[in-house]
Order: sequence, then C-alpha cells, then structure tokens
Amino acid sequence: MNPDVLWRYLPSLISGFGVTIVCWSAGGALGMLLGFAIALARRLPLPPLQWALRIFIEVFRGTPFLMQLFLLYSGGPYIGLRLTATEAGVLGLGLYSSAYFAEIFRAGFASVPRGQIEAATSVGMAPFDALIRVALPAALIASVPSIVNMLIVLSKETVVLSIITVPELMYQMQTMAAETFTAFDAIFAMAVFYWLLVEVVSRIGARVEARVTAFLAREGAAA
Amino acid sequence: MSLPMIELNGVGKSFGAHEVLRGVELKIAKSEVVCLIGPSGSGKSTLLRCVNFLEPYDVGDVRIEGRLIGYEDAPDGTRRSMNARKLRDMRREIGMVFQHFNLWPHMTAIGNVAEPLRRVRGLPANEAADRAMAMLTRVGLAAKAHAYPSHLSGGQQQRVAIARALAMQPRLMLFDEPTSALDPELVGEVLEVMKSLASEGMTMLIVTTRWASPPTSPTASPSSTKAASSKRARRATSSITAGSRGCGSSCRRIMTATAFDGAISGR
Repeated sequence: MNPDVLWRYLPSLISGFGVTIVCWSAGGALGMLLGFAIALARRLPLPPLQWALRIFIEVFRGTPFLMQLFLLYSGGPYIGLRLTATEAGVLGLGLYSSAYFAEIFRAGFASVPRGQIEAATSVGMAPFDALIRVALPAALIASVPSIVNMLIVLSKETVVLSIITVPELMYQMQTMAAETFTAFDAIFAMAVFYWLLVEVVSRIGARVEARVTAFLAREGAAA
Repeated sequence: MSLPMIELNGVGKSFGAHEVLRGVELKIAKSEVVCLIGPSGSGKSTLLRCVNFLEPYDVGDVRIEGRLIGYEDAPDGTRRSMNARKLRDMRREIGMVFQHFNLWPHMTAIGNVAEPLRRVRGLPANEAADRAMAMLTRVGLAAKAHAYPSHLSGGQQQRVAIARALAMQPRLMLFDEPTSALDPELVGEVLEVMKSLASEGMTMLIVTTRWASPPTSPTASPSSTKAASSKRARRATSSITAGSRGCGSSCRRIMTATAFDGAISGR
C-alpha cells in the first residue's frame, strides 16, 4: 500500500465515484421508467406489440452489456445517433436494465391475486381505476426486493462504461494504476467505493421494504 | 306487477368442452333470500358469478329487474357485448361478497369501504369516509376502522367486505360461500350481519356448501358434525326444496344445485 499515491489520486477517484453514481442513478431511473412502461404495454391485447416487446426483452437480456454499449456508442453515429460517452453510458444502462425491470414489474402484476381485481370489478370500478388503485400498489410493493436487487447489480455494471471512456470510477482507477503502477492499491480503493455504494443502497432498500410492507405484518390476529 | 329482481332463463355456460351450466331457470323476487346449495364443482359459484357478469354466460338471459346484463340484443336477434360503462353501472347496483374476502391489503378497513365510493360514486373524500364509517359501525367494526386487513380476523375481514359492498347501496347482494373460509367460531358474527340484512329486506342470493348453520359451539364433536352435514348434503341434491327447512330462519327459499348439476352428470 502506498498512502501517498492514494492521497494524490483521491480527488480523481472521488470524481469518478460521482460520475458512477450519476450514471447509475440516471440509467437506473431510465431503466425503471422504461421497464414499467414495457410491463404496462405488455398487458395490451395487441399481438404485434407483444412480439416486439418480447424481442426487445430477449435481446437486451440475452446479450452482454459490454457489446450493447459498444454498439450503441460506436455504431450509433451510423444511424445518426451521436452521443457523448456519458450519454451513451446512461442510455445503455437504461436500455439494458429496462429489460430486467420490465420482467420484475410483470411478475409484480402477476402476483396480485385475481380476487382483488374481481372485487374492484364487482363494485363497478373502471379497469383504469382498478389498475391504479388496486393492482399497481400491490404490484409495486411485491417488486421492491427485486428492484433493489437489480439496482445493486446495475451499480456494478457501471464499470463497463469505462471501455467507452466515461470518466467513472473504473476509468479513474485504471488511469491511476497505469500512471503509478499501483494496481493493487487502485483496485482496493475501487472495491471500497463500490462496497460503500452497495451497502448504502441495500440499507435504504431494506428500509423501504419494511416501510411499504408494514401493513402486512400480523399482530397475532386470529385467522 | 313488479319484475323479479333476478331472472335467469335458459342460462348455459361451458369452460371449453366442460359444460358447467345448462338451461338454468331461476326467479328471485325483491327481498327474497335464496340459498344455492350443492356439492363443490356443481357450478353454484359460476351461476352466482354470471349474475353480475363476472363470469360471462354463453347462452340464455340473466336479467336484473328486467334488464339483460352483459349483452345487448339488437332487434334483428343478434347479440353483442354490453358497453363497458353500462355494464359497470349495472354492476355497482349488485353487491358481491367473496369466499376469500378479497379486501385490498394495502388499504385500511375504512379505506377499503371508502375506495369504491370515491372512484365509482365519485363522492368527495370526507363524505366517502363518513359513509364508510357508518357502514363499519353497522357491521360492528367502527373500532377497527383504521386497521389493515392483515390485522383483522377472518370474520372481521368478511364483515368489512360486506360493508364495502353495502356502502354502494346495492339493490341486491350476492354471497359466494361467505363463511367457508372462516374458522367455525367466527362464522356466527358473519351470519348475524347477513341475517340482519335479510330482515331489512335485502334481496340475497347465497351460495353455500353448508346446509345448516354450522355449530356455534366449537366444542361440537367433529365426527358427528361431519356425518350430519353429509346426510343433509345428500338430501339437498335430490330435489329442489322450497321452504325454510334447514337453512336457518332467514333463508326463505332453498334451491339445490340439481338444476345445473345435471349439466355435468349428463341427465
């Protein structure tokens, strides 16, 4: 360990960590929104749309993120999509994770008991109201653990952004390692940063989960 | 003369190749309480669910106060699905209580009752809450208004479900095995609410596998209860019975499932 080198590179590591957090949260938010929209669209009775969404999900879940990102950044200009490295990184994370989020939300909707929807139907509630007031809250609550899990996975997928020169933590770490030949120190520092991020995310996730499922806790009531 | 509250004419329903209902005829007058009794799988619940079109029937007519539900017949004899809004308008006049309560778990008891008032009747929040509270008081659960369903016993959950249906001020109520999922000692409180409804003149169609009111005392020997109920069940399938026999004083007419049971057995 060489504290001097670490100290000297700390500002660039911290700035890289900042870029990582920005890309991760923007990409994750984009992925969640897009994934949610896909999950909703998959409930529409339009076969061609269903095939298209199915293919979208299969492609983005079935190929490596590295390849998707590389194609998006290097191949994008050929179809008129000129993005900065960071924009491509965020968009890439968003598209990639949306395929997973779509499946998470689909499973969430599938977990809502049919009887709860029937109860809404039987009192004359419109399908939209039943969706928003009954199915949606239950589906989101059921999805929370999987969402947190996916966000944690995604936070570590951000390292891939370094190959398209996004100045995130991995990129800064590689620069430090190359300039000072301190590979071990650099990797160690990076690990600490990621561990910190994951720890914070999982703690917040546990809080949110406890909060939104509080009403499910039984207080020893007889069935 | 007044139209029957519920009228079924030649109602048939199949799930694929499996014919569940065939040629079902049923007339229920206003304020009448009718129990549908029969073995499980005989199509009682399907029949009940056809009344509010939760289950679309294939042939025949289901009429609520003379009005066909679920379909619209053109003058030239063709039939098409009812406009969704009109169907919703009819459904909100028909209260339904389910075997498994089907309360919305993320809402409190009062939230469950007030929700349809707000979304369907369009009442402002405070009015909906007031009416919901009045309904919970009526089923004896005012003290539990702010409890979530998971904190209520089965009997309490079912009473909230009844309050939710009643708050909509329905013209008739459908009960789909309302006490089957309850522990024996909790059945009484739900039956009490149902009896009081019947005595106020509510039209009720009740599906049940229980021929008589279950023993109110949990100390009754299970073997004797079972023997008694199976004997009664056999009697139930042999005929269409009219009268108050066996189903408690509030049940004025009893129909067995034989009318549609025949569809399965091929009679």
